[in-house]
Amino acid sequence: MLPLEGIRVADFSWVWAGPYCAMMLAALGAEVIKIEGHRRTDLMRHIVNWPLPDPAPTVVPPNQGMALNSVNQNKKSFTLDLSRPEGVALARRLVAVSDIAVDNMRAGAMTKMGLDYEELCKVRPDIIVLSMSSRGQEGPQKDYAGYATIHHAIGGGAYITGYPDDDPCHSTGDVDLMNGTNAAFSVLAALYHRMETGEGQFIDYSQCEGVTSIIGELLLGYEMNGQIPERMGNAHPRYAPHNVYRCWGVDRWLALEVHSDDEFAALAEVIGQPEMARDPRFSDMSSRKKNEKVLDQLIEAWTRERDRDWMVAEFCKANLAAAPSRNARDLYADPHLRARGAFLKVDHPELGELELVGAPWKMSDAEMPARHAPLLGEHNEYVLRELLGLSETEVSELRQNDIIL
Amino acid sequence: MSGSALTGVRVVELATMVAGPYCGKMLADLGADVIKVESPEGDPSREFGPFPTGGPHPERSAMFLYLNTSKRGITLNPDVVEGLEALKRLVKWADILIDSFPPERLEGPGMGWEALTQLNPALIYTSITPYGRTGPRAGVKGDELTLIHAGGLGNLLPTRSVDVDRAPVKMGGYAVGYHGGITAALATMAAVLSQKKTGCGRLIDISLQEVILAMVRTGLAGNRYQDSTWGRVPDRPPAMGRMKTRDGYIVAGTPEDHHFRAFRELMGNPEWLAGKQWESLAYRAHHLMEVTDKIDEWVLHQNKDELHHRGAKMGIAMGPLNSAEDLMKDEQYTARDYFVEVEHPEAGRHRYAGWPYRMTATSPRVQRPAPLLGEHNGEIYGSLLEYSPEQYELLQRAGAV
Repeated sequence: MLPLEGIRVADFSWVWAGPYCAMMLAALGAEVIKIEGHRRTDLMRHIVNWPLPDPAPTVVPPNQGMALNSVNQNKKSFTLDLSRPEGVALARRLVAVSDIAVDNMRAGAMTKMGLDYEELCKVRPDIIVLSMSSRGQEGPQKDYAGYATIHHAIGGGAYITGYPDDDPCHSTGDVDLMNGTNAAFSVLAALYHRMETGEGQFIDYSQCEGVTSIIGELLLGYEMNGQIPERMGNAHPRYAPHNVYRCWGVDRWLALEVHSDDEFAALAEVIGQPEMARDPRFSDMSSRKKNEKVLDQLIEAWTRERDRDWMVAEFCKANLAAAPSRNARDLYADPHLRARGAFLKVDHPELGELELVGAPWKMSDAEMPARHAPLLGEHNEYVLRELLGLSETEVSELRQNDIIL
Repeated sequence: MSGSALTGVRVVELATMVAGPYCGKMLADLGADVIKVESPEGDPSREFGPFPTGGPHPERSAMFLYLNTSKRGITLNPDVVEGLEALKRLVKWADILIDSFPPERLEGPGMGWEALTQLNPALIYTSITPYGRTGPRAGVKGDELTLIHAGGLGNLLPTRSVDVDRAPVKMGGYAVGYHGGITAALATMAAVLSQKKTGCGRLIDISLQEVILAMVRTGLAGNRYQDSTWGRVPDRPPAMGRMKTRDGYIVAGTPEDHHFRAFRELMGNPEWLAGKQWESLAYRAHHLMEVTDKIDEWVLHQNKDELHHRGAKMGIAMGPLNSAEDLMKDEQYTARDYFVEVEHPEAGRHRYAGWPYRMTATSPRVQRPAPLLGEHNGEIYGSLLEYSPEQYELLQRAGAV
């Protein structure tokens, strides 16, 4: 049995972070209703992943974007006109039969619609409301907007990412998915509290702060010693060798990290230079760290003439930490990921069979659900008739008035 | 305020470094009773720093101090019989066991999942490993650098790179460890909720490679099914990425047409962006690269904070690249009381990073500073596990504590 069976989520979020948060709850068994304004649908229904080679289309049909399909699996879709009071009234009725409401709007946006925590409490006193804004609900910047890359920059992650002699770099959208996962955790903690006490609550989540909390040790270090942590490329403060090495071919790389003298001796053995382990320049961690540059050159002289995957296999056989720098094709082809069922086969009504990444855990007694992201408005009938108990006449009236499509 | 969300949840943490301890911290700061089990030498993160100006000291490592707030700590050596026996008593007490060692470490002395679930049928066993507990690569070593590449995220950086001859670069800090801890905490929390109803335990198998894989899910599917480019491509236009300012860097995002109109206005409506066509996403996707240099040039003459405020007030999503120094004095973080003061007996009083979630009923807080090595041996072996002083001495003599 999935752990969250019987829990219902009203998902007012869009783009990546909020939808992924709600999708995590769906993967754990909650019934998640994705709510979209029918004239203002999820941004991910309009655009595909950037960048695209010419002359690929930059606009996709609403159900076919891969970003949309990757962060909305196992949900139901309900569309209505949230700019009119009748639409908002319907949304409130849905919240009244839900346990959790999620949004990632700017602070105040839900209030404007009459769907903020205070209002929702009136229809569901023990509701748990999560609002994932960019900077949080209070403070001088509460109205500022942001996306993953911006949160990574503001939160302090981008400043420390990159080569010391080059520009810093922001992440891809992964920060949104981290924040979605983290926020889902806070929702479940609130659900536990509600189970124990009957009390719901409002969760004010700041996506910038999400980034800052995962570099906490560096900030505490700065507090203690006044030194600003800078970019280190692929280097580690203690370990060497610890780098990404060029392999035979174009843009082929492998990552290798050595944590002890024994591991270094094993590495020297694999690259056919066992005497390196006795070289005073490399005899212990601190001397290796001091002579890291020349050590990296020696290793790369060996790796650049050999096949990436063969070398990784040899390193792993010698019990070293090594991995190819995998691209999308490498990942889909990885026999280990396939053996573990990391990809879910999803039958999409418009696109056919897709292999999409599943949830990042395996849990006993819980078979991972694998339904495609809902088509736009796919579950309007179910929500209106079954969940809200509307009659056929009421539904057709709403449709005539263009409150629902 | 009604106190802490997870009061009464009992956790044993048999974990080192980042992923397992961060999972434990997330539960502990919300009120769970987390007992951190360290080997007599201590968690290696005690040696990692960063350290205060006085130099390395096992009770002053920022990594250990930050990742182990709100926990009680004991020392225990499961490699001797007496230590294993004590661990069994802890497992019987616990709702959750967080384990970041290879499965063989507990399986060796007969404490694998089967044995654990017999000891405590309601136990949630959260196992965090580099590649998961099954499959051909189970047991292979992996850490921050190798796993970020194993899972695909490493291959995408540096963003906006034009140099294919330079190796991809990792995320700064310990991204894999933190992401793993967050994912483990979420799955564990879900299992706790169902345990509460059914009384049944679960095995949760967290593969750090798959944690990273999950974070590239959209690009991965886009690459396979819609021919979008994968990789460190140089053709990401400005106004949708990092730009250099006079005094640092700024990142902007203008995916929607109204964002771009505002950005154009921010730049003073230059004639090279005149025309309705620029207001179309499709047009921009194909032509923005033609004006990249001009946009970069304009941004280069701005100050990052000033530009941030001006742009954000016009509705443009943007933000400066903050250093640790910038963050610790940031007006927004300060206004939200994000940093919290923690007093530690050895390391002193410092401001720690807080939590991204404020909860109206049960906000997280540092319940106590990170434990000194073996700080709670007395109360845990004595009161909780009911060892008499004589028995405890035997444990010590056997090298179990």
